[in-house]
Amino acid sequence: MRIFKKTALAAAIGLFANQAAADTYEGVPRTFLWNPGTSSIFDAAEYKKDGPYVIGFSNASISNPWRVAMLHGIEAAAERNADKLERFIITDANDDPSKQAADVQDLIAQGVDILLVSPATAEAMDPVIRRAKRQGIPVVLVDRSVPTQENFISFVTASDQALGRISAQWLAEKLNFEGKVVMLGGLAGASPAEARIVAAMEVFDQYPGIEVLETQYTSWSPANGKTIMSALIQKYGQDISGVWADSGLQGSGSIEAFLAAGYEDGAIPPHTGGDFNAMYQLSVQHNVPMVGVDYPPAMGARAFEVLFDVLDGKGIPQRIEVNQQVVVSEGHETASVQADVFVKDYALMDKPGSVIMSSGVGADYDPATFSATYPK
Amino acid sequence: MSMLVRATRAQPVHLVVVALIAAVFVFGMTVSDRFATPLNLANVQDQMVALAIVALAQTVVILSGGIDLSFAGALSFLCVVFASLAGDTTGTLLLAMAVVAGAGILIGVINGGITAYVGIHPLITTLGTSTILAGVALLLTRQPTGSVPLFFEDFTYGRLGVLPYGMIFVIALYLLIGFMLWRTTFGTRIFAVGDNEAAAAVSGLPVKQTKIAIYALSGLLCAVAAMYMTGRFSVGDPRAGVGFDLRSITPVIVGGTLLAGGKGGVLGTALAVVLLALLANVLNFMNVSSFYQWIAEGVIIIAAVSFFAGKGKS
Repeated sequence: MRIFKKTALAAAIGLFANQAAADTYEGVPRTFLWNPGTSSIFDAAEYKKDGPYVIGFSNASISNPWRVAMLHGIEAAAERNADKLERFIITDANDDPSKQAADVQDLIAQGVDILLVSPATAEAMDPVIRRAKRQGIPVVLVDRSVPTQENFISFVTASDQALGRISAQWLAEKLNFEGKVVMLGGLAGASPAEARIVAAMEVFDQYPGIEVLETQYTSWSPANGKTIMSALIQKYGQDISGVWADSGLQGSGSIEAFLAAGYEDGAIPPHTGGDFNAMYQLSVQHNVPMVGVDYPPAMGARAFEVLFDVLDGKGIPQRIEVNQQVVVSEGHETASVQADVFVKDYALMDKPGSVIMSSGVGADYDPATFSATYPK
Repeated sequence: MSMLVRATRAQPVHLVVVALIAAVFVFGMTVSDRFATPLNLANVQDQMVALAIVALAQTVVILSGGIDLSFAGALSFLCVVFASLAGDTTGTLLLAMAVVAGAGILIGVINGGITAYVGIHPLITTLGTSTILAGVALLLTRQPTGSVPLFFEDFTYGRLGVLPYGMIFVIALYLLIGFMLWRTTFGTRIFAVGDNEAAAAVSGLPVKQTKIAIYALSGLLCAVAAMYMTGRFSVGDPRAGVGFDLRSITPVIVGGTLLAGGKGGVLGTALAVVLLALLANVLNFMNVSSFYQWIAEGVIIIAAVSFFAGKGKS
C-alpha cells in the first residue's frame, strides 16, 4: 500500500511542470505496474533519528540543462522542507569520479545524517558508498545507481529501458518497419545513455527492414546534435528515414540541422527525444512527427523526500521510479505507442526553449531566474 | 655544488607556498571545527595521492624542458587494462601490475621516441597519444569494467593511524625521485637537457636517450597512479583520466618549477599538491559552488606564475 502512495506522490510532483496537467497520465508509473520483477522494501528503522537534519548531496555535475533542472528540483524540495533542515550541503564533482569520491568523504567528515548521491560514474562510486554504509550513514541514490545493492537504501530513477524501447518501437512502427535510422546517443559511457541505446537496439534488431546507419554520441548537447546531424545529412541525405535520439537535448539540434539543410516543414523525418522544450516547440512549428518520453529531473525532488522517509524509519522500496509521460504528435500514434498527451498540448510555446520538462520545480520554472532558500 | 645552489634558490618559493598552506589551514579552522580533525585531514591526504603521483611525473618532464599531456588518455586506458586483468587473487593482481607498468613505460617510450627522433614538439606528441589512448579506452569498454581484489581496494583506503597508506607511498616516491634528480647522473642530465638542450648535445650528453628515459619514467608513474585510482574505484573507468592532463601541470607551476625547464624540483610540487587539496577541501566545507574552486585554482596559478616571473626580472 505504501508503495502506491509514494509513487502516486511522485506522479503528482512530476505533474507540477505540466500546464496541460489534466490531459496527462496521472496514475502510478507504468514501469512499476508492468515491472516483471519485484522490488523489496528496506526497513529503515535502524536509521530513525530526530531532526533537524544535516543532509549532504553529492552531485555529479550540472554540465547539461537536465542536470541543472534536477539540481533546481532538489533545491526547491529543500526550500519546502527548510524547517526540517539544520544544514543542506551540496557538492559538485564536475563529472570527475575522483573528485566525487573526495566530495563524499568530505560530506561524511562534516557529520551528515544522510547522503543523497547522484554518481558521475555509477560503478566508480561503489567503494566510497560502501564505506559510508560502514560508518553508519544511509545513502539514497538518484539518476545513476551503484552495482552493490546492499550498500544503499534506495535508488530513485525513471526507466531508461522504457524510454529507449518506447521511442524505438514508435519509430519502427512509424516507418512501417522499413527504413534507415540514425541513432544519436547521449554521453559516451554514461549509464543512462548506454542503457537506452541497448534497449532501442533490442527493438531495432527485431526488424530486418530497419537499418541503423550510424550511432553517434552527442554528450546531450544541442550544439553537438546539430553539428553531428549536419555531417550525417551531408553523408546520407535523403537516405535518413528516421532519427532516434534518447533526449530532445540533441534531438532539437538534429531538427535544426535538417532545417538548416533546407528541408521543408513536414518533410523532416520522424524524430524521438523528450526532456527539452525546444524539441517539442520545433516539432509543432515545423510539423516533425515525434515521440518524447521525458526522463524526469523531478526524480531529484522525489529522492529528497525519500531522505526524510529514511530518517523517519519507514519502509523504503529499494527502487523507486517516477512517472514518465508518453508524448506523441497528434495523428502519429502507432499500434504500440499511444499518447498520454499530444505534443501540441505539451509543448510550452510561450516559454523559453531551454526549459527542461518534468523538472518538478513548478509551472513557472525558468532555469535562468531560479533561486531557493534553505539553511546552508 | 651547483645542485646545492639550485636547491637553495628554490627556498623562497617553498616558503611562499608554505605560507599559503598555513593561511588556508587557519582559514579552514575558522570555517568549520571539523576541518582540522584527523579524519578530515586523512581524507585530504587520500584525495591528493593520485594527483601527487602524476604531478611528480610532470615535474620530471617539465624540468627536462618537455611536457606530458598524455595522462588523460593514458590513465583511462591503463585503468581499464588494470581492472580487466586484476581478477581477485594476488597472482592476477601482480600480473596486472606488471602488464600495466610495462604498458605505461611503452607509452612513455613512444612519447619520448617521437619527440626526440622525429622532432615533434612534446605538446603535440603527447596530446596525440592521449587522444589515441582515450579512444582506445572507450573502444575497449564504454562502461566501467573489471574489478580489483578486495584487499587491494582496502589498501587504497587503508590508514596507518591518520596516515593513509597511499600517502606513505607518495612520500617514499617523492624522496626516491628527489634523490634521483639531485644525486644521480640521470638527474644531472635531466637538468642539463632542460636548461639548454643544444649545449647539452654539444657537450656530448645522450639527449635523445635521456628524453626517452624521462618519458618512460613519466609513463611508469602514470601506471602507478592508474593502479591506485582503479583500487579506489574498484573498477576500470574508461574516463578515469579526464582532466588529469592539465591538472597535473598546475601543482608543478605553483610549486615553482619553470615551465621552460631546468629549474625547480619535487618539493615545490609536493607543497603545491597539499595547498590545492586543502583549498578544495575548505571550499567544500564552505558549501560554496564548486565553480569557486576553479576560480581559486586559476587565481593561484596566475599569481604563482606572476610571482616567479617578477622574481626572474629583479
